[in-house]
Amino acid sequence: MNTIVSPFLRRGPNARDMMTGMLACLTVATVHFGLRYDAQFPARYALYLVLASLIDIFYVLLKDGRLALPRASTLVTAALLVLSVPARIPWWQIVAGLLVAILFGKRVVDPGALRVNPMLLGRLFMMLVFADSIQTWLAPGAEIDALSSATPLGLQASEGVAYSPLKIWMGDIHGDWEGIYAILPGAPGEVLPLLTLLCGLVLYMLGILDWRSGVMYIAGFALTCVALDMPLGIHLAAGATIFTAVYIVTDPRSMPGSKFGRLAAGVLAGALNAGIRKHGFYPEGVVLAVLFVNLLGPTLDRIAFQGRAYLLRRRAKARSQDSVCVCGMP
Amino acid sequence: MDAGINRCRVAPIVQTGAAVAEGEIVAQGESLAMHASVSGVVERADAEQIVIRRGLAPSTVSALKETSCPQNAADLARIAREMGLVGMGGGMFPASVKLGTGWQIHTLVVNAVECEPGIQIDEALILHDTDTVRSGIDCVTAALAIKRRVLVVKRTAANHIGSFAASCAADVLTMPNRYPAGAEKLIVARLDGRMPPAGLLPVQCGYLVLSVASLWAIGRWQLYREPSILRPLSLVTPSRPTRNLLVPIGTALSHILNTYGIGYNPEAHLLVTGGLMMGARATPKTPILKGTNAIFVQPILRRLIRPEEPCLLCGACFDVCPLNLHPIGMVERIKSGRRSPALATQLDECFLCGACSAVCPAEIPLVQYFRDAKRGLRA
Ligand code: SF4
Ligand code: SF4
Repeated sequence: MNTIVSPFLRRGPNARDMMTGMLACLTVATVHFGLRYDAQFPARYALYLVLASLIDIFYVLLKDGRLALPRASTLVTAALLVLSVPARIPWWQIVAGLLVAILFGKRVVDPGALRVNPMLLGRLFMMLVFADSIQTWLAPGAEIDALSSATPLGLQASEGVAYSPLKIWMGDIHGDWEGIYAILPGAPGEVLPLLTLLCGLVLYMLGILDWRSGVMYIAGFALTCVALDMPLGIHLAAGATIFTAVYIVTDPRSMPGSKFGRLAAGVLAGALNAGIRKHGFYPEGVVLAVLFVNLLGPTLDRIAFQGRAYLLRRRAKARSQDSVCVCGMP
Repeated sequence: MDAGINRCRVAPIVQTGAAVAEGEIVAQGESLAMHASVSGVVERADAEQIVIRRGLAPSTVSALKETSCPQNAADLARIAREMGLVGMGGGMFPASVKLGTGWQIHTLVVNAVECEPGIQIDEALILHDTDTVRSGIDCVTAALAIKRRVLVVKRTAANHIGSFAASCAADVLTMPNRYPAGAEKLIVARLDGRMPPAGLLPVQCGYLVLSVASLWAIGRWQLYREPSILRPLSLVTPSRPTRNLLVPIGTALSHILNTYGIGYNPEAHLLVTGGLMMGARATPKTPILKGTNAIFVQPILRRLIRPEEPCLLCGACFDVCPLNLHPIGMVERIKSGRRSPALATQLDECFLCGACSAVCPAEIPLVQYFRDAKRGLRA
């Protein structure tokens, strides 16, 4: 008790509130997907979360020999992973992804010097190891994010199916393709960009998410789309764009902390993502773009720190040359 | 007896057992004198504390022979020293030092911002003891030949105390309601159009920033020749409306708590003097100091006792720092011992407002690191 030091007030959410808020929003997306497309999905989602908790509990049990509640951030990581891969890929692939994300990403990589998004590590693993299953699942030749979005965009590119960006914003993906292709387009978290955007807004207003990286991601993405002559409407609406802006590039731990760092990282991730979509040597844009920016995070923060100090010193110097300090009035 | 920070050391000049009257000088220092705030017998007088047991019939002795207004800056500085004036907004910087710097002062800034949540003593002084505050303002303005006066208020108080400004021909500057809008540095930055660099005092820029309570004390001297022996303060408790009191300096907190029937349980409550953001924990034995502008009795928040977690890099501390510093960047460097010019620059700038600690979701005591590191840098 004697260790309490000033300030004696606390403002804004604490770590647990933040994770709870994220989880609530992700669960809303799950319920929506369940209601509209796949009634079994919410149950599977819940099972995956239980599984993620068990992985966490076992890890602590084996390592420290004690029982502890799973960390809230583990659940968020798991929820993000489950929601950002197509709902119908085999369950054991998702479990493998969860294992990598939770054990390797959160327990091995995260406390170290590398700051990368654990959920993206899980997806990277799935992408590399289960490339085959992704291949068969995706319409061949599509230029878009494979894991994240076997979306109208892909179908349009490969099969010439018509789309309407407005419909996609509303999550209205019951299109002509549904009868033709026995797949459910899009990952569960990504099918209703409007809902995702709303959730992002709520999280921002609760002080849980920072606007900088998300907004800058969209800005960078949009600018690059325009520069590369890609159809902006569909690229913004379809695929993981909005989901990434709200949930992935805002992940606190793996993105820079400083304001400058966030702005820069956001733009960079957006531009890279769009660039990869256009000149896709590999279909998964989001994972590579964001992981790359994650690696740059500490450097961006360092630049910002030095830059701020430089500005402060320059200001002090300018002031001392004002001779006897006659600021404002004589 | 340590009445505050630098140049504030005073030594007792009374002996144990001596009888003193209210207002008599009991300790003397280079920059200020201390006066008995009650009449009675001296029970203890050493470098740490002077204890006066109240006994004699109250009789006021004015230590100050002066009868006329101070004529110039040196006069004012001398009076500030004799009446024992320190910055009563909480800083406790000896006013005689501030006034005696010899810098050309063009603006008197009346700081009524009270950005620390819950404190409303400055507001109360303006509303209920208007004339005393105004005469303090007039006294300082006349002595220093000040051209401009500015009353700085927070937005919520702009309506009801803003009108006070008109009655003493002052401009009004409205600051946002957010802590730490009342910091001298931020006020001067607004008035001046640019942020004063670290290490430069507002007086050196020509701004004399005084809190309402300090001006009120000068007004007391001006009207009643009373030295600084009373402390106006807010008593903030969760269950009752805030009271604003006038307390003799040196009164033990327990006395005040008993008088107002406020229950204090050290297990469940936090007793804080000064303010919830920058104040300090106190015990019932803690005396009221010249800078004690508020007393808080608060239940202990759960978040205050939660252990520190690894930083989430959520960016909240970056967002909230009024000087756009990089709080966690500094802490990382302090922790790892990576001293660099950039770190020193940022540390110098930080004025320990604690806003970053208050928002940290991982409960990292950021400002504590800065406080320690600054001490380390100085030592
Ligand atoms: S507020 Fe706390 S958790 Fe967030 S970046 Fe700053 S130090 Fe880290
Ligand atoms: S205490 Fe924190 S918020 Fe306040 S000035 Fe220092 S770094 Fe900024």
